Amino acid sequence: MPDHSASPALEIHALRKSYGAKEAVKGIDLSIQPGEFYGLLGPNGAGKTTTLKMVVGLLRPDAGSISVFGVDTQSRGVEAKRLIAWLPDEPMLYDKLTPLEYLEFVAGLWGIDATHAREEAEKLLTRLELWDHRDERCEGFSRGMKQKAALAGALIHDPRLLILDEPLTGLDAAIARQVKDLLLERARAGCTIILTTHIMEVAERLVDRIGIIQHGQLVAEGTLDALRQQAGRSGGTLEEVFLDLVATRGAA
Amino acid sequence: MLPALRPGSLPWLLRHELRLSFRTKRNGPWMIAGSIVLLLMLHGIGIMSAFGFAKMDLPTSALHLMLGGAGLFTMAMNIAIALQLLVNGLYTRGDYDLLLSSPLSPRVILPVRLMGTWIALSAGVLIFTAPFINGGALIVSWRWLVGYLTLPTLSLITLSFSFLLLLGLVRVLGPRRARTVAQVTAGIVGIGGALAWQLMNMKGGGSGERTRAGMETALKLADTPIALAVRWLGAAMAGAPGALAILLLVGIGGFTAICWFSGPAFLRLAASTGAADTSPRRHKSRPMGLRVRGRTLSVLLKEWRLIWRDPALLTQVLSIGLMIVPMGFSLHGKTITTTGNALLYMGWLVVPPSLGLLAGAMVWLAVVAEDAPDLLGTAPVPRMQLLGDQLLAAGLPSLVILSAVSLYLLPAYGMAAVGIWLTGVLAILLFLLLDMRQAPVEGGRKAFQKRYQGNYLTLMAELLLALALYGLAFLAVWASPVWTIPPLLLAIGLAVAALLTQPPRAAKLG
Repeated sequence: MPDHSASPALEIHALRKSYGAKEAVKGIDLSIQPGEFYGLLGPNGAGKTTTLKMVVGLLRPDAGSISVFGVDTQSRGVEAKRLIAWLPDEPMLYDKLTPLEYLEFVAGLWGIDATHAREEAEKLLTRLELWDHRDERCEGFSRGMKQKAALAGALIHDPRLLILDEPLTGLDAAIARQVKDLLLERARAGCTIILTTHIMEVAERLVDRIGIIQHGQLVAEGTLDALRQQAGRSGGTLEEVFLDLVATRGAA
Repeated sequence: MLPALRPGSLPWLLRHELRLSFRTKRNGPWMIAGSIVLLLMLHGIGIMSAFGFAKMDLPTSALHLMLGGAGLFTMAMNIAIALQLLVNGLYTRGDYDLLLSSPLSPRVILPVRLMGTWIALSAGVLIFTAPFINGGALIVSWRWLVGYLTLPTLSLITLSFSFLLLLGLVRVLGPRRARTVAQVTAGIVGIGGALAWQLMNMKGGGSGERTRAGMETALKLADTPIALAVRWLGAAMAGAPGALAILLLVGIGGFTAICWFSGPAFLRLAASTGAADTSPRRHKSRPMGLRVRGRTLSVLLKEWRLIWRDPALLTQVLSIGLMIVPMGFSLHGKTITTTGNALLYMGWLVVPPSLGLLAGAMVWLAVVAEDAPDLLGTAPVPRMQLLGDQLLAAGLPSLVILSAVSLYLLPAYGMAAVGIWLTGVLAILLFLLLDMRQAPVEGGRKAFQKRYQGNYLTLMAELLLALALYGLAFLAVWASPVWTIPPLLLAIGLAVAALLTQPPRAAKLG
C-alpha cells in the first residue's frame, strides 16, 4: 500500500476540459493539503463543478493530471475513489429505499466491513437526527432530510477527501447548522474537505483557504487575509473581497 | 400573430395548454416518415376491410351489436389510458402548483386540463380508426364519417368516468393508495382488453371462419336484454339520429356538469395528490439494523426493491412482456412437429422474445434510468463490473422464468425445450444489449412509458428483433437447437465488443 500521508490531499496540474467549442476549465493548478477545509468559489458557470466532477471521476479531463493523496485518478481511478466522497447539490438518493437501505447499498458499493458500517450508519443517522426515520422511504423526506441522508451516505465509508457541491443550498437554518457542525467535526478529525458555495458567510466561517475560479481559471487563492491583500483591501467581508476580485481579475 | 384572448379565460388557458403540448412532441423526420408509412398501410387495410364489409349482408340488429361491442372495447381501453394520463398529470404535478396558486378559477383549470387529456385520448383512438372510417366512407357509405363524431364523444364519456373514478378512489383510499390502485387498474384493464380482443383467435382457423362465427354469435345475442344497451350504443355509432343525439348529450352534458360541479372536489384532489409523497411510509423495523452485502448482491437487491416497491412501475414492466402475448394466443391451438416428432403448441415459441422484451425493459430501468448515476460513477468499482451487476439484475428474472419454462417442457419435448432455452438466452442478451443504449428521457424511471420518445428506431428494432427471435425459435424446435449456436456466439462477441469499445452512458463520463 502506498503511503498517502506525505502527499497532498489533492494535486491538480494544468487541468483542461471543453464541451464542444466552450472551454470550461482552462489549465487549473491547485494543491490542497491533508486536513485542509478548502472553499472553491466562483460565479455560476465558472467551472467549479466541472473541475470537481473531474476530480471524482465523473468527467474525463481533456488534459492535465489529478492525484488524490498521491494516487493518480486517471490511471488508478478505483483506488482514488476509495479515498473520496462526493456530495452534489441534488442528493443522489433512491426514493423507494429507506435511509438504512440506502446506506446498505453504499456500504456494499464501497465494500465496507459490516460491523464498521453498522456502527457508522447508526452513529451518522443519529447524529443527523434521521435515526427515527431510518425505516421510512426517502420519497416522503423534505429536501433537507434527503440532503442529510445523502451526506450520511457520503460519510459512511470514512472518506479522506470529502467534496461537496453547494451542500447547503435550500436547507433551513437548523439543518444547515447540523450539516456545518458535522463538516467541522470531520475536518477536525483530519478529513480534507472541499466545498463550493454561493453563500459567502458559510465560506468565511468554515474554510481555511479559498480558491476563486472564473472563466475556467483559478484567479485568486489563499486565506481571507491573503485574498484581501490580493484585492488591495485592508478589511471587508469575503463577499466584498470576492466581488472585487471577480471584477478585476475577470476583466483582466 | 395569435389572436388576443382575455388572460385567465378558458380559451386563453386552452391555447397555452395546446402550445405546450405541441412543443413537447418530437417530430423528427423518422417519426414523420414512419407515421406516413403507417397511415398508408392502415388505409390499405381499412379499404380492404371495407370491401369485405360491403359484401356482408348483416341485419341491422347484429350490425349495431357489433358496433356497440367495438365501442365498449374502445371505452375500456380509453379508461385505462385516461386513468394513466390523469394520474400522471396530477401526481407528477408539472405546473399544477403554479396554476392552483394563481387566482384562476378551478372551473377554468379543470376543463382545460380535462380537454387536453381528451384531445390526447381522441387522437390516439382516431389514429388507428380513421383509416377504417375513411375506407368505409369511400366504399360502403358516407355515413361512416359519423365515426369522427362518435369516437371522440366516447372518449369524452370515458374521460369523465375516469375522472370521477379517480375522485372516488382518492376519497375512499387516500391519495397514495388511490394512485397505486388507479395505475394498476389501468394496467389490468389495458392488458385485459388487449387479450380479450385476441380471445377469438384462440379457436384457430382462418380469419373468414372466425368472422362468420362472430356474426353467428352476434345474431344469437342480438335480441337478449343485455344486448339492448350495446345495440343502442351501436345505433348511435352507426349514426341513427335519435341515439346519436342522446350520445352527444350524455358526452357533452356530462363533461360540462362535471367541470361545473366538481371544481371544489378537484381542488381537494389536486391538493391531496400534491402531498401524496410527503407522508412517511414505514417498513418493518429490523433489530439487526443495517446489513452489508457484497457489491453484486447490493446492486441486485437495490434494483429489484426499486421496482417491487412501485406497483405502477411493476405493472408497466410486466405489461411489456405481455405485449407479445396476443401473438401467442393467435398461435394457440396450432402445433409444430419437433425434432423428436412430438407436437408442441406454437404459443411456446413466443416465450423467448417476450422474455427478451422483459429483460430490455428491466435494463432500461437499471442502466438508462438509474436515479443516482453520480453515486455509481464515484464508487470504487470498475465501470464494467458495475455494469455487469446491473445487467445481471435486469436479465436474471427473465432467465429464471425461461429456465422454469424450459424445464417444464424438457421431459416431454427434449431438444425442443433446449432450443427454446437457447433462443431465450439469445433474446435476453440481445435485448439487454439493445436497450441499455437507449438515450435517457426526462423524468428517469417515472417516465418508463415515455422511453421510446426520440428512440423510435429502438422501438422498431425491438419489434423486428422479436419477430426474428420467434423465427429462430421455430427453427430451433423444428430443425435443431444447433441453429441457435452461431447467433448466440455472434451476440456474445458483439456484446463484449460493444462493452469494451463504448460502454453505455459514455457521454456522461465525458
